[in-house]
Amino acid sequence: MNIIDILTPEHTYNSLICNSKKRALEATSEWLAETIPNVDATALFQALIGREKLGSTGFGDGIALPHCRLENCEQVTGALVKLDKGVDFDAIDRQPVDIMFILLVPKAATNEHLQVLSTLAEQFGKQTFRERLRACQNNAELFAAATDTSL
Amino acid sequence: MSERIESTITIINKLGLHARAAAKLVNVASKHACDIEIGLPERMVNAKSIMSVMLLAASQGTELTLRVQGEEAQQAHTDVCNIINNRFDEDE
Repeated sequence: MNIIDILTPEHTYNSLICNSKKRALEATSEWLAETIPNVDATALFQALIGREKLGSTGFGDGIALPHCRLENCEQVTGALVKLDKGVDFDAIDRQPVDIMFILLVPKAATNEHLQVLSTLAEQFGKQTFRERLRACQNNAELFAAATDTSL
Repeated sequence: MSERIESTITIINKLGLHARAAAKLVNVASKHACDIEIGLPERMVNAKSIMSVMLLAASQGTELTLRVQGEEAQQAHTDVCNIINNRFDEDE
């Protein structure tokens, strides 16, 4: 499993302007709902925020992996959003988050979900990978860096 | 007083070591000063790092090795085993 299996250029956004965790998730939900069939922006936002209330997905080093299970989601769908500046995310290390990888997961896909998390943890756990993403200037560069398995 | 404890433990909750379960494990492990590693014999990771724990992709039924070393290792070992055996407070 690689990031390219779940990420497309149209779900990669280099510089979202926002000033809070709530706004970041809300804007991302609206943006994703435009391109994913059968996904409603409000329902997606509620699901993502609901998950955050159980415990922040800000897993440290400026990275968050907001995710939720959706009834009408047919395959694991990822989205990569870089924020123009870090926002408070109640992260595990208390550091602001400036990179979100959002995951929409079908209700049933338990083992696949674990494999996806493992891949994301491996890549985002590397400082070189994070630095490369932060240096990207546009969506195309960000997509290329995120899916570069040599990093 | 430094102790070293090593044992195996099976992940029994239905969803396995998904993000929230991993976060709970890390939370318990981080309350202890000793070194705590968990994983497979060929891939042991720091149980206080959520990214590292998620790397394991441990599904229901996976047998993991738990290695604890240092101050109050026994208590830390017990606490980590308890959160796993309590299915991370999940229903199934």
